[in-house]
Amino acid sequence: MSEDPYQKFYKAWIDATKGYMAPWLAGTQTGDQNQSKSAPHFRVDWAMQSKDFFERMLWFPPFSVIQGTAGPAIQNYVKYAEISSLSIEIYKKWIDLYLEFSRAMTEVTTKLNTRFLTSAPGADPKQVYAIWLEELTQGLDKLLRSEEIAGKMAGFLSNIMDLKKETDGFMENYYKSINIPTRSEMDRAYKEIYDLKKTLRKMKKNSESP
Amino acid sequence: MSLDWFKMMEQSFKEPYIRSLNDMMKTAGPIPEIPAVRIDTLPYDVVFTDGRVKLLHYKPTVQELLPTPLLIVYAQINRYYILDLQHDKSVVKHYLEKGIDVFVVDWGDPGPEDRYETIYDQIEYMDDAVEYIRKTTKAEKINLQGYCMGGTYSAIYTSLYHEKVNSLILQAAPIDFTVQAGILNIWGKYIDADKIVDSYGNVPSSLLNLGFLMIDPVRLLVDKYVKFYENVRDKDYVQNFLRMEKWIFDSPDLPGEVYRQFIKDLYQRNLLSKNELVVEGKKVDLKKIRVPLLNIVGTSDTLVPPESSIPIMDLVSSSDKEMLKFASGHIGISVSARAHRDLWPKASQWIADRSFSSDKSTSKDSVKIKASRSAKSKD
Repeated sequence: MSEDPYQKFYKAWIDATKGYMAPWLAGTQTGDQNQSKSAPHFRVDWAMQSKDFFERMLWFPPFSVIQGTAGPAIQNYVKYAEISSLSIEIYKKWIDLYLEFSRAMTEVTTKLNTRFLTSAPGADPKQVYAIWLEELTQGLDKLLRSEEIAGKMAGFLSNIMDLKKETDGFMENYYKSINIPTRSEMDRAYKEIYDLKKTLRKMKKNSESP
Repeated sequence: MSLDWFKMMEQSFKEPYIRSLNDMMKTAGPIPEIPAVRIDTLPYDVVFTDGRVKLLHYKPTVQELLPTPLLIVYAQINRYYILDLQHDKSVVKHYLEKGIDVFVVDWGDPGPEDRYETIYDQIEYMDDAVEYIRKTTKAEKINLQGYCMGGTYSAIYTSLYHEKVNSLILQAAPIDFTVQAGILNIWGKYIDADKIVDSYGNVPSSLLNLGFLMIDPVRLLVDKYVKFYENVRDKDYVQNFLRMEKWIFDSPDLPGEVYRQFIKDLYQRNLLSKNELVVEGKKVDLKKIRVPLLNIVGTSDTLVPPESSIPIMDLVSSSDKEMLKFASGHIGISVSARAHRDLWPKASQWIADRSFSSDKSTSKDSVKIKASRSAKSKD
């Protein structure tokens, strides 16, 4: 049986994406550790070079004189390089997940085509919808229950948190440089309030108990 | 400024659907005017406030009340009013009609100052509420009902403060977290709770909602709205639908440390069902639960699969224990017309039958107390 046009389209799309993303995905798809270490040079190198560059700037005489005030601001350039590197990591994971979902959707489409060919649901769109719903639900359920996908989604989420941490750090540095209270300072204050509230609650409970 | 990626993702999910919903509505032709959605909760008083947490006391609908009051604790990730969503679908109404004196914990909205609160702090809030009820109603013990995450809290509370609990009612309560039947249980194993909490503080409801929608994306993001479209001319259906939508997305953030502990100690280490959970230095031993237990389980619950709720039956020491399995999902168990016809009359009777043994002096013979002598209201 010849390949149906949807499959053809998705295959071509996946191949094209893989080709385009090859330098970024190298090693991660095959699980080849050596390749993972050596291949995605250009993204890491680019980020590291920028980091080195900005860090070196701190030792440049005009900056080093005013390091006390300019330091945090310049550190932000370093953070920016880290943020860029993390963004690339997230994009890579996102594409990886996208491919997994695309594969699952291709499978669903194939199943739908087979069902429509073998048991023509007729012209009733409601019946067509019911079949579509059933197949899509089953396909996605299988995908979302997979431990591998769960791990990938958690990894994606984890990278987003790393990125958030870096962007928050970026703002912290900036606020510090202009003498505005930062989130970590506020958090320390909240922790003290929490501890005080807890002590108070304990004391109140002790005083009320017979 | 901080980037809320999940808010952005939620928007990118929501907006296309709202657009397509609008397009669908346009093709449906003239649509009857839909009044603004209202949550028809029964009247109550806020009788006690402890920070963001409130204790609600529902106004009795009968002249005489049973001596043992009931405290309902819902999950912290949505609002309590799912149990009193509308007049004809109110679990609270069933209780009030039976003469049960109903109190409900409203967890409120945690602010950044609440990020350090742990599960134990929530148990302490519950204890403050219980103390208030005991003091004002003169009841020695209370009946305690916990729904979903509130069920887990209620099991922990009863294990730690069994002397204050007359009976325990669990509704779709996760107890055993190792089951593979639930998608959340699978995902929970891989989540890096530390990174989420360290990064966000309180865990945003947008992130939690995205997770819940992803459990069954086809039904929750497509089919639900197709069904709505099919029934767009039915005023009652539209009202019910909008009420449910309002409830689903009216979700507070979750205190960070509660989330961390829930994921790490419960989803990942399953400490509660192993009797190894320790809160604030206190060991939670489910075997210490000896009070009558009613376990209400939805057989098609995908959020908390029955396999997660059923094991409590063997983990407690209660001799009076009963399980009500009902063919429904996690929310349907509270709002479906079938549940209000077949399940809640039974459940409220179960509670009423056990509400006479609050203390040694109250038995069925010493009858009920006057509604006006129940808990004092603020107003």
